[in-house]
Amino acid sequence: MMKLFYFLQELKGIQLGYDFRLYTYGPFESEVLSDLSAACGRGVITEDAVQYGRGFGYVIAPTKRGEEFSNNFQTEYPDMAGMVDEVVREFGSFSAGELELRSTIFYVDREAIDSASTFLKQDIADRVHQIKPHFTVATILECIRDMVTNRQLQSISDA
Amino acid sequence: MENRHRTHEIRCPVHGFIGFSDWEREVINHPTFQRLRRIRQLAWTDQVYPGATHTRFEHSLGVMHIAGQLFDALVRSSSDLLKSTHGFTDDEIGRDRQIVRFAALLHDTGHGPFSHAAEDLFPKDNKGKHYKHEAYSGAAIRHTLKDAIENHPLNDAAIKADDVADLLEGNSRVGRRVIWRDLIDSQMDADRMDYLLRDSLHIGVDYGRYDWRRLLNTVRVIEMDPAPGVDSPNALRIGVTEGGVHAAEAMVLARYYMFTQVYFHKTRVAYDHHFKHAMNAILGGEAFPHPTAEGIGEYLRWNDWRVLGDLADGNGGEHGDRLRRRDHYREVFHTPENPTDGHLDLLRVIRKNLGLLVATAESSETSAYKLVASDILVVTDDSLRRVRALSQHSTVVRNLNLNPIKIVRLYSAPENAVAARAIVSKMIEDIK
Repeated sequence: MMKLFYFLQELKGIQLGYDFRLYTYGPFESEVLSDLSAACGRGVITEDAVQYGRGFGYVIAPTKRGEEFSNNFQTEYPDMAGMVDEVVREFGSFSAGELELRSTIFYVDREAIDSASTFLKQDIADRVHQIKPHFTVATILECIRDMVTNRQLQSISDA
Repeated sequence: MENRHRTHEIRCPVHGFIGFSDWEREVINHPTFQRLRRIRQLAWTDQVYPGATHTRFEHSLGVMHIAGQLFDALVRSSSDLLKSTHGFTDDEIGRDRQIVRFAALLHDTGHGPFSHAAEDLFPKDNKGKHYKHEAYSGAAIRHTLKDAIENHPLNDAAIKADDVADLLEGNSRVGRRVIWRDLIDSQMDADRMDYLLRDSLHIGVDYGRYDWRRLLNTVRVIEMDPAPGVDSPNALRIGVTEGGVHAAEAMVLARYYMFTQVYFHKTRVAYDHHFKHAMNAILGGEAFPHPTAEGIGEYLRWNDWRVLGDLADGNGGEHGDRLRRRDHYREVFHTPENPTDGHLDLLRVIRKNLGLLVATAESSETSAYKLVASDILVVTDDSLRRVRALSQHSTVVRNLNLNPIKIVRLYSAPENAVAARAIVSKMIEDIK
């Protein structure tokens, strides 16, 4: 969810008011967690922790109230709802690890844009590999190529 | 000649003694850091709690102290994981340690006069968002402090000012050092750990006290497994062992108590409001300079003393006058900490009925000290080393996450407060 919110704001331009910063687990904003918890507290979603080995995650699902909210949102804000659908289509099938990688690649791309720089694909791959040495450069490059094909990166000079 | 082994010490009411090297001393003595002696940690909170006169200077020394201790504790407790599994070398660890200490020491150098109270007057970046003080800290490190950081004889590791700023800002140039970001900016960072204790001490309350030594004792680098069926390797995170659960829980509670009793105290919030408008008048409606090489020098000329001088000269408009005379706005209504839809409806009706008697409305959701959900990680003590969130261990933390603080306060000018409160009382009585 964190990474989907990140793409919704930073790629699709929906201003959610979050300020994402880079951590080992990719771009992160603790207010996203707060908002999810608050939504759970208000009965809009359920948030159940699941354990697997030495890790854990959450299964998040809308409640009946959440479904009603979603239907109203689509009616009242069709453009924004369309952006949400796009993000889910483009990124919803990826695993947490893949989203972590893609969002970090995107983060580096955005930094380049903000500083009016360009990168070669290899430059981005090298930088992401330094942040996330647990992903190989080959894996990162493959991801970059895919994101270039999907027009998600703008700073690449050898696209 | 520099004595590599010489350390200096300074007394601290929270930590006893804080030690630092010749190199760190040079940075501490730099005018950019000494400026923090003229920035109050808690802005105008001394109008409520007279002891709240401590500054960002001693707080920053405290953060460096705790960050260094956290780092050392992590390296001690997680040496195998860092070195054998993930290939960290002793040289790399030594270099990272110094960068972490500098980042912690300098994290607040970019604060404006009276700390967070001035942040609404920062200019906007190219995305239309107001800069935060962290951007000014980064600019101060990269420009005014560059020489002190880079050109010291003890800088064998060729540490650059950019290395320190990159860690602070969380930009991608930080590389593998990103793992230490949690020590600088997270739910259990050195900043939070120091200010809770320090603010509590100076104000004279016990709300902010918690067993921070137990946290140091139980902090670990954690390796989490990916989800089943997912072929992605393990990222490193920072958390605590099960033995640290109650200390972490106490810190989360300390944050909650300090927020409701101090940081969002009704009178402190009123003073933040007055200061923001007085500062706006002093700036002549302009924003502070940008956090760039060209603007940072002029920005760093701003501190509490300069503003107090302006206020003493009669500047700051109506709000400056209120600050001088301690004639602050009075709270006339507030919602509960966790308002229901019914409470929010009542708020709307009251606000509408009060009309122009409402001088301002302030929400805890826009406070610089706003509480966010806790996500501290806990690793079990058994051989399975399972990782869970603190909220899975603690019902108290889980409930705080599910019920965020959303207080809204309505204020009137003192001359209107009695009338406003009478209207509010009657409305509430009529509803009963």
